[in-house]
Parts: sequence; structure tokens; C-alpha cells
Amino acid sequence: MATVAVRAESERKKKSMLWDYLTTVDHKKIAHLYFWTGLFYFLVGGLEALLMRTQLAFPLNTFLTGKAYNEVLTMHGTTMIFLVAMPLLFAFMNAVVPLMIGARDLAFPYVNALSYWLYFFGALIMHIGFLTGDAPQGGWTGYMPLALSEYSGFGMSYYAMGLQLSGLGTLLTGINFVATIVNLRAPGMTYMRMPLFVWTSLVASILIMFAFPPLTAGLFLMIYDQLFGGQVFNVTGGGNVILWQHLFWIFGHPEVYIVALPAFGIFSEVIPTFSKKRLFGYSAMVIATALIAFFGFMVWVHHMFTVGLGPLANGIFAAATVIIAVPTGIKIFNWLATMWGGRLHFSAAMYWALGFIATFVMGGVTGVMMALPPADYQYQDTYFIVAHFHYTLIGATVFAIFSATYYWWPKMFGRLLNETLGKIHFWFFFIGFHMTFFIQHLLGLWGMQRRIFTYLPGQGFELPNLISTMGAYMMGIGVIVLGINIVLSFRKKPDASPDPWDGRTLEWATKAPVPEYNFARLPLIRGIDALWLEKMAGHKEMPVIEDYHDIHMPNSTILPFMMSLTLAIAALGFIWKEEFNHSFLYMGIGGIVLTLLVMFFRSVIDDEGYHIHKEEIKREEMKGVGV
Amino acid sequence: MATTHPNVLSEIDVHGQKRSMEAVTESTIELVTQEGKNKQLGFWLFIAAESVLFASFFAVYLALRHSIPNGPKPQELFELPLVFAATAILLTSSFTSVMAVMNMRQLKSGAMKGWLVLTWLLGFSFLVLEIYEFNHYVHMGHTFTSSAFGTAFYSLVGFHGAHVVFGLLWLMALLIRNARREITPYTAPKVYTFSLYWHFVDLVWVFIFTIVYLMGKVG
Amino acid sequence: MSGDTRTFKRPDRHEIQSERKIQTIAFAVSIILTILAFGAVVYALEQGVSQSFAISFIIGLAIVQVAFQAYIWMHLKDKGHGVPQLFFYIAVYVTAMTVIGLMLMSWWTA
Repeated sequence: MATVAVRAESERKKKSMLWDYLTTVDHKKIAHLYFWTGLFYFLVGGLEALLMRTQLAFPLNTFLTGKAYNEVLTMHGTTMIFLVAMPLLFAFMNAVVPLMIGARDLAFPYVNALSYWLYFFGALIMHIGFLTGDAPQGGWTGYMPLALSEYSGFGMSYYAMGLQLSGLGTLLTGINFVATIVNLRAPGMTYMRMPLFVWTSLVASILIMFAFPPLTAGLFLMIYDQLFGGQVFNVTGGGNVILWQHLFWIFGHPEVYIVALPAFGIFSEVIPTFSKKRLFGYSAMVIATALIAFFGFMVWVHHMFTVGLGPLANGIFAAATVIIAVPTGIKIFNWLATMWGGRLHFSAAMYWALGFIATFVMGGVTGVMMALPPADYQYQDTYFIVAHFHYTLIGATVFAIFSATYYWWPKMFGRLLNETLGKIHFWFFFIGFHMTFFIQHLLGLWGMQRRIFTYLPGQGFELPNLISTMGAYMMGIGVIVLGINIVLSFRKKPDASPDPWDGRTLEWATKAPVPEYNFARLPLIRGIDALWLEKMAGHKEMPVIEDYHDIHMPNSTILPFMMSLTLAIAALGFIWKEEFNHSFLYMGIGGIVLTLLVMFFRSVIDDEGYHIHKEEIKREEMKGVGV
Repeated sequence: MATTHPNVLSEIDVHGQKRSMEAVTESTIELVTQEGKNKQLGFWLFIAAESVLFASFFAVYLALRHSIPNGPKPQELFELPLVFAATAILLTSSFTSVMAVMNMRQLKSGAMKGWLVLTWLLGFSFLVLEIYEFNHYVHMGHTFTSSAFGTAFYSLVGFHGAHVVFGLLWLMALLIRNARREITPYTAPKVYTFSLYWHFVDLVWVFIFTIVYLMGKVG
Repeated sequence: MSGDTRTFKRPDRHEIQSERKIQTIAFAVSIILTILAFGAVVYALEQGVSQSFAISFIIGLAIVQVAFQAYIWMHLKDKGHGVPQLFFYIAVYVTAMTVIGLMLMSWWTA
């Protein structure tokens, strides 16, 4: 076994920023990667939304029609859920969870990097269709047989392959966070002392572990049918198209909790901090989170009430669906109870929390309406559904991401975002959001179907659609304000305080900027809201369990990037063998072989990381506050 | 709960237990390092997720196993003696990997490697039998594209076979890599993780021979 | 990473022997259960015994065999395996939902 080298700081800082980010395995830098990529795709998805709303502003509009509209429609949904919501939540989970539990990194830093690059390349593959003339157009849900090549061309193959790759990354992230939270908590941090954001990250990661495999299976079968002559969804070969829906929604329903639970976790941090009061009903919040996850696996058929499975199946799943409203409601009441009697500070982050409570509850109640199959027969495939899921998804996930952006910006980038601009962002986005989507409930009830690129005049749809489009543009303005805020924040030096909000949890105990190793000496946790506990006892720092010592760090490596690249090559080869020329099969096989080679290379090379010398650590620690 | 600030480094009161800086003894070598513990937990988590992946393929197979517009039926295709032989071979290879880990824990490097080589040979024999079997089916008209049953069958059983192939490649890489190395807390988790994977592959096979082959014969 | 400063205890002769016994018993049980399953099917085919009974029987045998292999060969019975056990059962739950749900709804609409 080779002795592990000590690497001095000057040597470590020698790489260029590009190479640093291409090879990093540090959770804090990976958080940056997820954040910027997610933000980029948010702009792409938002643009797709504006294109659709522009088309729908007037009846019989010809701005964006037919196949092109369907492609934009499909990509909007796919992008927002897979390339925006989850990556941005992962950005915050990566940035903050290890700090909150007193760990130095995730359990598997290499796999963490791999997860990001799989997402990066998966996202690229999904978009290559725009260049070959065949973007995905079968809806983000990819129903069969529409998603087969004879009806949708090869676009849905780009969808399937891209999703398979980034889905693999997500699955690995789920495993990584569970292992981290189970194994790497600092001493004294029992499960019932973990911050709620850690709990929701844990439960969401468990959901990921068990919800993504059915999607993986479904995507494999979709790929087999599209590219390899499979007959699973082809009725003439004996296939069954409903099987796709089952597989997709067994994934799809837990998926919405995967994006909602971390959002709830974010608010469970923001609300206590800005109410200067601890979270009300900690145990109930934990149990409610677990119940939501448990029941989340029992309700998938509520997306299929109108498929014709019969009243018994519909009834069972309707009952399970209604039950989920209970733990969710408990959470809402507990957030309200947290604020009640607290000393409220209306920061930008807190604005989003308040907006969330109102908006998400509205989305939730329409959900209960849809949970009843006879009623759902009226709502299904109308704009009522579109309104519901935008109220819940944007109300929870997007608002949480915005809130977390303002809240954790100083921890991630060492700077503060401007609070005033943040509030302007909020008002444009919030008012625009309700303008866009509230009226869609009514449009749905008045009979406007979803997934159509135009509508006839004279049905009373004109004014509502126009209002909806204007709201969408207002949301766009809000996002532009956020963009300006971000650019302005980078004009400043990274000199924000390490604890600008007088925080309650451990991430605020680290120095600013957070050093590579997070904590020079691992802290001892003595209760919930560990940092607040110490503050209330009059201590300036967390107690520690060890003396300064050399810290062992993992090496950077280009292999995660390489492995994702080789898998992407394989994926494209298999698609192009059908779309263009059969010889691309060798590119596909070649990509797989190269991937195995990279894995082999990784296994046989001894990569034992390096040490940071304890003298250097002591020097750094003496400079600033914190552990 | 104390309000004094300990920062005493040798003894900290954690949940009422004195925790000292002296070494804590683990019961097995693969759990000595934090990395070893992480790998064991991480791999169990991976197995749990993969179980659901296989479950999905099983569910699809169960839904489509009677959908045979073209091609031979399972009763005509499956030959129980061959399947029994393959099962016995894979089962034995799982047992030999257990023996390998037992020897690893006793730091008996030579014996461990011997058992691992045996595992590889048995696994390879299983693969050979399976390839022979698939070749036979293809000649009888049961292919990946012949029917929904065909695609579902090869998706499930072929996916398992791919796991066997990957496992053999992994084991070979391990054997090559560790040929000249000792059993240490750094190398032990690698062998342990492989054995967990190999057991998982056998576990899935138990369900495959039951649900695909035995149920296929019965109807 | 911290947590690396531990040592381990090499197993003594008694532990080795009892461990070897348990693992070998698991092997023998697995072989027997496999033979039983194949035998049951051969018997059912020859004697024309009820198909659904045979199927329930062999699935039961499969579950028992998986339990033996998971608990003994994969060391789920050992100390410190609480979390793997939990995830094993969560996987069982999700598998049950998936397989039962899909099967029931593919075969039987009521």
C-alpha cells in the first residue's frame, strides 16, 4: 500500500478552474455544477413555456403548431422535471446536507461526480433531437403506442436514452445520500436530532432508490421496442400498451414526492430561522414525511382513472390518494404553528415560504378533487390538471428552490443576493404565476383540453388564454430580475459573513468560504438545532470531539466525466443505427466496451487520495470564526 | 443536558456512553475502515434498488408470458434437466464465494483466491449453458423479436445473464488486481462487495427458475 | 476519513467452525428446496395435480430459499445489519406493490 501524499495548499490550487470543475469530487463544487446547469435548463424550459403560451394567446394562432408544438410541449415537461427540479434540489442537498450532519463529504465522492456528469450528458442527448430534426414529441409521459418510432420518429429514443443516463445518475445520488446520512453523522447527531432538510433528503433519496428502477425497466423496454424490434408495447406482437403506463406511474407518482419532500425540508429550515422559533412538532414532521413516502407508492393508478381498469381498482387507489392529504396537511399546520408567536423577519427567502403555503395548499385541494374517480373523468386531460400540477410543482418545488437560493447563497458562494431585488423577483413571479395558472382551472372546467396547440374561437377561451399568457411573461420578468441579482452578486467579493441569518443548524457554523474539508475538527451534537443550542448557552463555537489532525481527502479524477461520455457515445450509437445507418451499431457497442474499460481502469488503479497537513488546517482555522 | 462546554478531547459524553479515542474493535476485517462500512451499506442499498428493477421485469414477464402470437410455447421450449443443472451450478458458485469470504476473514489469502477461482469457473459454466440454451431457443423460433413473450423473456433472463457476465468480468479484474496483494482492510471490502453481488445474482435466479421455467412448464 | 483507527478480531477456531457449519447447512437447504421445487413440477405434470397449488408451492419454496440465502449467505443475520434489513423489506414492499398491482390489473378488471 503506497503512503498517501501530503499535498500543500499551493499545489492544490494550481489547476485551472475548468479542469478543477471537470475533475472535482468535492460535494460543494458538485453543488455548483448542479446549480448552474439546472439554472440553465430552467431558462430553456421557461423559454419553451413562453413559446407555448405565445402560441395559445390567440385562437388559431400559427406561431408554433403541430409537430413543433408537441416537441416544445414534451421538452418543457421533461426538462423542468428531470433537468431542472431534481438537479437544483440536488444542488442544495449536495451543498448543505454534509455540513448539516457534520460530515466531510458524501459517502461516495467519486459516484457523486459520476451522477452529475451522467445528468450533464443525459440532458445533452435529450436535446440532440433538436439538431437531427426529431426532438421528443410524445409528451413527458411517453405513452404507448404513440412513443414508438412509427408514430413519433426517433425523438422518443433521444428521450429514452437521455433519461436512462440521467436517471442512472439520480439513482446513484439516492444511494449516496442514504449511505451518507446513515453512516457519516457527527457524534451526538441521532436520527431525531437531524435537521428536517436532512430528513426529507433521506426520505426522498429512499424514494429515488425505489421509484427509479421501474422507470429504468420501462425505458429499457421502450428502447427495445423502438430500436431492437421488441414487442412489449406492440399489440400485434402480443404486447400491452397499458403496461407502460403502470411502469411509468409507479415511478411517476413517487417522483412528485421526490421533488416535493426536499422542498418541504427547505421550508422547514427557512421558516424556523426567520421566525426565530424552533420548528413546531419535530416528531410529527418526521413521521408525516415517512407516511407521505410510504403512501406515495400506493397511489399510482390515480393517473390512470380513465384508462378503464374498473371501479374496484379505481376505488382502492382513490382511497389511498385521499389519505396522503392528511400527513401533508399536518405539515402545513406545523409550519403555521412555527410562525405563530415567533419574531418574523420578512427576508426574500421568507417571502417564498409564505407564498408556498398559500399556493401549495391551493394545489393540494384540487388534488383531493381529482382523487375521486367520477370527478376525475371530467378533469382528466383538461387544463384543470395542468393548473393542479403547476400549483403544486411550482408552489412547492420552484418556490423552495428560489427560497433556498436566497437562503444558502452566502454558504454556497460567499456572497449575499440583494434582498430588495429578491422581493421584486418574488412579486413579479408570484403575481404572474397566479395570473397564468389560476384561470387554467376555469379553462379546464369550461372544456379546454390539454396538449393541444390551438383552439377554435367562440368558446370563451380567448380572454382567459390571453390573461394566462400575460401572466407567463410576468413570471419571465421575475426570472430576469433574479438573473440580474445573480450577476450583481458576483461583482462583489466573496466576503459575506459565515452566518448572516443567525442560523440554527450546523452549516452556519462553518467558516466562509467553507474549506475543502468542511470541519477542521468534527463537532459534537447535543440536540436539535445544534448550533442554536450552543448559541443559547452562550458559546461562540460548536464543541468538538477531536484535536487538529491531518485530514484525508479523495483525489480529483477525470474518470466520471469519461465514463458518462462513453455511455453517451453508446446511447447515440444505438439510436443512430436505426435513424441513419446500421453501422452505428459498432459505435454503440464500442461505447459500452469503452465504459467497461473506464470502470476496469478505475478498479485496478490504487487511488488513495491525499492528506492536508494539520499545520495548514490550524493556520486556516485561526484566521476565521467557526469550527 | 449540560451547558458547560466540554471541548475535552479524551472523553466525551455521547448518549450517556463514554467514548474514548482508543481504537474500537470491529468483528470483521472488511468493516475496519469507514470506507469499508460505507461500501457494505452502499452495496446493500444498490441491491435493494436492483431488486425493484428485476421486480419490474418480472412483473412485465408475468403480464406477457401468455402473449405468444408467433413462436413456440414455454412448455415446448424449456427443458428442466438443463435448467436444473444450471441452477445447481450457480447455487454452488454462490456457496464457493461464501467460502472465499470466510477464508478472507481468517486472512487465508491463498485459500480465498482458490475459492474465488472456483466461483469463476462455475459461473462461467453457467454462462456457457445459458448461451447454449438461448441458441437452441432461437433455432426453435423463440427470439427477442418473435413475440411479446419473447421480448419479455429475454429482457428478464437476458438481463440476469448480463449480470452474470458483468460479475465474471468483475471477479476476473479482482483476481488479477489482487493476485500479488495481501488481504488488508483496504482490499477486503472489495472482495466482500463482490460476494454480496454474486449472492444477489443467485437470489434473482431462484425467482427466475421458479417463475419463468417451472411456472412455464406447469402453465 | 475519521473512523479508520479501528482494529478487528480474527475469528477463533470455534467461531470458524460454527460459521462454516451454518453456511454449509444453508447450501444443503437450498439444494433440497431446489430439488423439491423441480420435483413438485415434474410430479404435477405427470399426475395432473392442480396447477395453482403447484404454483403456490414452488413460490413458497422460492421465498424460503431466498430468505435462507439472504440471511445466512449475505450475513443479514449478523450484528450491524439493521439498515440493510430495513432496505431489504422496503424492497419487498415495493416489489409486492409492483408485481401484485401489475398482475391484478393486467389479468382482472372489475
